[in-house]
Amino acid sequence: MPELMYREALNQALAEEMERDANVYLIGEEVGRYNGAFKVSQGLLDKFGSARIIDAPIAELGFTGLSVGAAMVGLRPVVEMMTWNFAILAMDQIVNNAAKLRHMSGGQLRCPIVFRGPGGAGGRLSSQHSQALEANYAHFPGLKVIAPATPADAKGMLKAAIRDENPVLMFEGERLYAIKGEVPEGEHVVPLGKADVKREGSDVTIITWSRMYYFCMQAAEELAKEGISAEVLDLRTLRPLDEEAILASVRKTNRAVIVEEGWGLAGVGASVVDIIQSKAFDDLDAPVERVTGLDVNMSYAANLENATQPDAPKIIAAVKKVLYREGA
Amino acid sequence: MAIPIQMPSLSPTMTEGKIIKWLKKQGDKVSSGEAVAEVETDKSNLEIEAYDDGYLLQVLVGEGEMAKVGAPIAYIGAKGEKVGAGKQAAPAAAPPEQKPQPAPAASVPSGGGDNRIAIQMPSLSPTMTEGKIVKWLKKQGDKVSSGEAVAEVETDKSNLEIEAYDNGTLAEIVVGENQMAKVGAPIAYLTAKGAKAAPAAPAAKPKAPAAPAPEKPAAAKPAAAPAQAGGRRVRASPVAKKIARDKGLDLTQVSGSGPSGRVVKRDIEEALARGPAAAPAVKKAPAAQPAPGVRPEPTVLPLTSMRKVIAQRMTEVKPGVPHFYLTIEVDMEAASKVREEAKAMDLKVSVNDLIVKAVAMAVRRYPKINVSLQGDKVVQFHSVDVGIAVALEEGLITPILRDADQKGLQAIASGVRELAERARKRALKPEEYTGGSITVSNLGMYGIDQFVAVINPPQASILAVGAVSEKAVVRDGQLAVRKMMTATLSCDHRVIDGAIGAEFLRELRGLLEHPTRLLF
Repeated sequence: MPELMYREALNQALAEEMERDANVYLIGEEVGRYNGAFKVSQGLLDKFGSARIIDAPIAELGFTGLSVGAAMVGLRPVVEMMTWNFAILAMDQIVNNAAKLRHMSGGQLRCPIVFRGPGGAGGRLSSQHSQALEANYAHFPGLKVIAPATPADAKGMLKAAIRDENPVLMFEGERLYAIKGEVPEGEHVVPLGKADVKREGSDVTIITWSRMYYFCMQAAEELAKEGISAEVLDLRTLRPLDEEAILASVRKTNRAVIVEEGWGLAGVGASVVDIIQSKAFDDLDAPVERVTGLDVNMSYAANLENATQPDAPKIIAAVKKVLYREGA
Repeated sequence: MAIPIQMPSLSPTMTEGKIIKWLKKQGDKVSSGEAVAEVETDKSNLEIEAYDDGYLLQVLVGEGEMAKVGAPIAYIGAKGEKVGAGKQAAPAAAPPEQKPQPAPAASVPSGGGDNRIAIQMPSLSPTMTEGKIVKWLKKQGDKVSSGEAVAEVETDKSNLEIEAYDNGTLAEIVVGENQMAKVGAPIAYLTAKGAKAAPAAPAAKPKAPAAPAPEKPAAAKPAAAPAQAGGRRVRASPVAKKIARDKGLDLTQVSGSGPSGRVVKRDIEEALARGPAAAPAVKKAPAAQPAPGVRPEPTVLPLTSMRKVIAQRMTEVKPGVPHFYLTIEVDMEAASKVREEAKAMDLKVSVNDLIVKAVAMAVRRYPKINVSLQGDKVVQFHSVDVGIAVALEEGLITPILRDADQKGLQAIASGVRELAERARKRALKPEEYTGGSITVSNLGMYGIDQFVAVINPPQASILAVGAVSEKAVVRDGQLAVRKMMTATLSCDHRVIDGAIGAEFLRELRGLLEHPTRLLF
């Protein structure tokens, strides 16, 4: 199986889907001539031409609204946000139109559209450019929210998102684009709404998604040296949540730690805790622990930026807490 | 004429009973059929009913005290009647050695010739020898009516209130707050209603029984610790509670290693691995912290009524019934699958439930095992009633699941759970633990591989079941890893011969190894 970078896997998914379906087009800032701010659309303008690879002005609300309209009449737009921080401008189109058209029209209209771009901290970009905003969108019925961690999932889920009949928001990551991994060639479609046990274990379930997945795997390796067997469950899709996978794992291990890059209050992890406490109460051996970004705006200074985010030592400490091994 | 209420025989093995609580007070009106007291037998707690109408004239056996079967525990008669005459007329049925004991909690005249009545330190628990007055709820000179609480006392188990048994005025407090008094010692005196309160004269009254402080705190502590745990809420994680409930483990006997002593999964696993005997020791260890250089004295506790009966029965049964033992190994792969399938359907069926079902069906097919030697006769049963040994904090009991061969797995599972739960609450009715064809005793959850059990007469056999664990076995000339279980049948050789037991076990093994046969 070829090894690709996360950005190359996305590029492959886009190219394959555009070849498969002439209704698919890509729009966004710098996606054409510049080959993408993060080179996800490298070479696509040459391949598909400017009618399908469209350079947009710096006007997120405008090109998002235009694409929502295009989706209503039969096209399948992929809207690239340079980062999700800038997509806040387009929130009205996403939340009030894309998410609600099917409902407001009594099923007469549909909105098969993908919004995608990097989320989370990039590295020394300070507070306006370092936000993990997926929890905001996971709040809305009518939207699907995905956040794959690996190149293979990135390809398979983008293909599934483009084929979905409803709006899908895909959270990538500036620090994920260069990560390499094996990616199946050709028709590799990962169903939305399905979590994935990336590492099996018996003592504790670490639940996560997107970039935090790598810290969790690192923590699991370290814990294994101490004889603690951690299961890493990659949610991949944040709406709808894969309740079945969450409950099956927690029922096996009796303990859970949820790792989330974003802030804790009203985070996705809070909803995961709610599922666990209400449906697996009798299987819990300890209160569920969460490791989240600190409840502050992101600092510019590298040391403070690192301190603000979850990392392996913080995850290890939380695992030991649910295992009652503090200070052990 | 005063008529005695006698301690009734409430179970086939009962020789004496303990009064847990009087439901009527002296002076109360009582009608025939009405419950007057709650009594603890060797098996369960039951109510005693009055057989006559009248007034409860005198309580002879106080709460927490024992009385032999047939012994009078109280007198009933006409209102205001004196007991004296009636006492002598106690029916001949009462054992001759019985003596109406004065209830320690009752008030007795102080003997000083005046109308002062002593309030004594009552015995409030079977292990209580003395009690500490925590607080006086009445002051000297206060009016007191019968049934009213006068003081709060701390026993070895808990804090309880002492009630007055007479109306009057609290004339004198002999034992002050935070002072100890031996059971039966006067702690205060009442002046009867209408009489003038005697001036408080502490020096005139004997104070001897009042001990200033506990003398041996080190020795007293270990006894108190587990008892306290019984009363308070046990902190435990949900999954720890679930496992404890499934395995019949008493959470109060497990020491918690989590925050604030929370019992967590690993504590339960460790307790189960150690086995039942070790579990209470876990609790005691942290409590017994003698001063350096002082060896802790062993605690001497009186036998509980259940323990006493177990001790007596086991000494009789083991030499009295000639046991022989047959052991089989059973491949439990298929039975484990049945359990998993039940689990997938959200049905709670344990391995033990499967065994109970298989035992019942094997008994049905081999009725020669379904017998009992009673005197010089052999009784052949026609129903299959299976006993299930349930471990309790102070001993064990074997509730009987009736017609187990007729029941489906789910009915067996819920029936066993329900019986075990009530057994633990000591709420079984006598007919629920007497008789039976055979008993299943399972120590598998404690990790026991194999053991032999003592027959529980009038039953003639008992099946001792060990843990299901993976073992290397030979299958078709090849080594294979299979889930195996060892079971040992103890038989009463007077009525069951080796071949009968062996045939029964062959059938049992067949049923467990091919559980679809349980359907037919």
